[in-house]
Amino acid sequence: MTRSHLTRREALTGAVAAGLLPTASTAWAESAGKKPARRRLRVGMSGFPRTFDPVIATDTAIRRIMPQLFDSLIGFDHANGMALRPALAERWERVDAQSLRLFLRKGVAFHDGSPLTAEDVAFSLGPDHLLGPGRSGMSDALQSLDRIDKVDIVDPYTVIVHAKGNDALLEQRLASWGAEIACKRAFTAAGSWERWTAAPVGSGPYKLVNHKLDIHVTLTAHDAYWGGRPPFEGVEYRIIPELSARVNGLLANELDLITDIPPDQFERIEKRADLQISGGPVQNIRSLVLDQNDPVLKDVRIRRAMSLALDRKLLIESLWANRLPIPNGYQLASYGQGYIEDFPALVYDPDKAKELVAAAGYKGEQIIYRLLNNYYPNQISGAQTMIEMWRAVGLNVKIEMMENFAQVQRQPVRAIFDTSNTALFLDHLGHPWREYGPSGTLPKSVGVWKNEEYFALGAQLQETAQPEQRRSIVRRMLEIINEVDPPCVILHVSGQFYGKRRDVPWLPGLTLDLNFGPFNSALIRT
Amino acid sequence: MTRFIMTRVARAVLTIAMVVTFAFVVLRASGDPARAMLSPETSADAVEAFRKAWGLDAPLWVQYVKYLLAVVHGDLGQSMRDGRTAATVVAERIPVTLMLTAPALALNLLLGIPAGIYAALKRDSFTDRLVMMVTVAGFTVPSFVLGLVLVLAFAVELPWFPSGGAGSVRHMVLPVVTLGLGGAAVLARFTRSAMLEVLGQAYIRTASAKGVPWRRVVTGHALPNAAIPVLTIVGLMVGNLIAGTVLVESVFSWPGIGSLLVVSVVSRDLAVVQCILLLVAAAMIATNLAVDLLYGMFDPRLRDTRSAGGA
Repeated sequence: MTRSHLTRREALTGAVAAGLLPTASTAWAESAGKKPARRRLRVGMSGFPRTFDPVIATDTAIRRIMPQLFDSLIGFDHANGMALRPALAERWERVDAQSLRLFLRKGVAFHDGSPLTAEDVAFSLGPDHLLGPGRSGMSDALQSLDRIDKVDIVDPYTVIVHAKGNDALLEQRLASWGAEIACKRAFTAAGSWERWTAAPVGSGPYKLVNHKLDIHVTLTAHDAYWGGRPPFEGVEYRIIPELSARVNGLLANELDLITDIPPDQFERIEKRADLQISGGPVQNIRSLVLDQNDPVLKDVRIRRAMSLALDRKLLIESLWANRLPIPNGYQLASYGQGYIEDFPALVYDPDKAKELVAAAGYKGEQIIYRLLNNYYPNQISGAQTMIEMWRAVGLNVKIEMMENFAQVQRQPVRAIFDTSNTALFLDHLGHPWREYGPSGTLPKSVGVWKNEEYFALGAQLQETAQPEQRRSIVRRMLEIINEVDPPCVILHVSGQFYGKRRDVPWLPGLTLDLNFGPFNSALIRT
Repeated sequence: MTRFIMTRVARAVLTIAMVVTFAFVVLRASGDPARAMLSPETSADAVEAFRKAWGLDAPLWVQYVKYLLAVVHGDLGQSMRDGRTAATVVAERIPVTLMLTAPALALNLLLGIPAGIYAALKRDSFTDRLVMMVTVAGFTVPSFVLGLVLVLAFAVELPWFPSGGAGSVRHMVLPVVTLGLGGAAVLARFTRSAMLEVLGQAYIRTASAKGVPWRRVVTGHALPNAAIPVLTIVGLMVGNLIAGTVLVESVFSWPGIGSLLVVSVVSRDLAVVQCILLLVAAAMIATNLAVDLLYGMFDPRLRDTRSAGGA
């Protein structure tokens, strides 16, 4: 048996979290003893989730509900730089480079009252669940969990998860979106995916009461939750696509929390003493995809010039109230050992951009920018600002408005377009690789970029467990994205901002997930 | 009369077929429905599986033939977002929209027609000018602006009514007023114009000259004749009862057909969009047919023409 590769950071994190969880649980257990009155949380959300199962899709609306309904074996500690923390598995240890033994928490009850056992874990991480309806592969979870080979049941509370090869990221994968544990008995009883997704059974702090398409999703507290009594009596998500209607609902005290607030609404909300803006950067990078098949963009000098021409600091100050960071390369500081701290920052150098444009022999040919109408906050104003920055270095970029991503990505693309990419888990493989790897959306479905060296390095990275070797591979992959053959222009780390009542004990996390359970940072701190 | 109705029904079927075909082609030609439905981060394999699951991988003409055959058998398809049949999804929104549009239509009629008649009868008076000034404001201010102003005034500043949502009579007040005021303004102006035109006719002068009391001249001669153009506008308003409230439903988060249509178009929930368009076309056609028949009631000349076999 190979020695476990649990790192010092992971061990420390696990220890701290393991110590913290009972404290939080105890605090809530005390509260539960007194049974103080709880409020029903009213959340104004912009979209309705198209499913209530975590593996099928990872749309924002879905992720805002999943943490309430389901738990995974391992969690991310949002208050602690996304370090790993025990969840349904109270501890874990490496068996070898491709296997992980997990010890399940005892006494965990699903929403239907049945206990969590290893059977549920094997089912949830097995093909009947992970591959989606009819094992069709209609599942976003495969993006992070396709490396799982099988789950062996050792005893009712111990499992061993095997990867398809060496995998240094197995723990991360088990904490990622789609790795939530569903109740096998309830899934089987439902008889079909349609019935299951309409009334799923998880072990999360809230259970689904009902939902109505585009109107509401209602949850009630799961008081037998293993982590302690949920802080709210229930959560009512009201679906309000229109921004002004959400803001008015908050101002009129009809809502406690609203999502997707752009910076131009901050002042209006914050001038009310009882309201505040919460949120900030999340584990997602906003960028502009460049089609390397375009006659102009195929020249790497033009792609580099497009990046060098952008004064990102000015963009962030003027459009984002200076609340978002600019990453150094396509990576996040939360990657831990996979983060290359000394990787060069994104540079604003219009003179260098002009030189590259001239060296490329660019004669003012039009570069098309396929643009959506504020699918991303500030998208239009950002685009207009960038057009001027590009114009200043001699690049002629023209906006073409599109209605949806199907139109944006219609082939042949021959254009640039906006995208954002979430880190499913905190590593290069869970983030840019997912987008730009050979199975990623951009090379495979849209066909706008490929780089054989990058693909080969990624394949090597997947099988590499040794941290220093991994860092060296990641550094070269970042260089390819940044400089050698850029598939995109990195803009900034994405932000998520919420308007909320000050007296609501809740803090946003570092992903698109909303967590209203007892492990929310606001409750653990108090 | 029978031939008139048969002709109209045949035209109605043709119109509906054209609407269905147009919607089918445009929705698919304006971008891959699978990509529009799924998140941009969805993997290529999941998108492909989605296409296969919903038959979007078949050639367009195959999809169209399948769809037409299903429609003929009363199957309007399934919602890709909800899993239920499109007819079920749409049907549960109809009463919700009617809860808004029916009272709004009543407000249109009760405010607009009397105001128009009164303004016409008091032509060039202070009252006439006041009514016209208010109606100009009423139909030039877009409904979503009026709605937002009402929300800010009566939900945010003065918490008298909910800012949005549905569920009680209080929820209905602001959206009904928003819809009602705009429609009433339009109707008042049309009614006034129609009345003024009729009041200037020779037969009105003749009736007055013969000593018929003015009240009888107005109710017996002017109003029935002025009713025909007004009826056209009212017909359009009735036709819009089903899906003419997109903006107001958005501003007030009213979960009706209008907001369902917007979300379904954006996400390319094909069966639902097609079902709504079918419904709207049918409502418009039925209303137009009813208006045509009512014309005959108000204008004997039209009735006589149709009885003689004209269409």
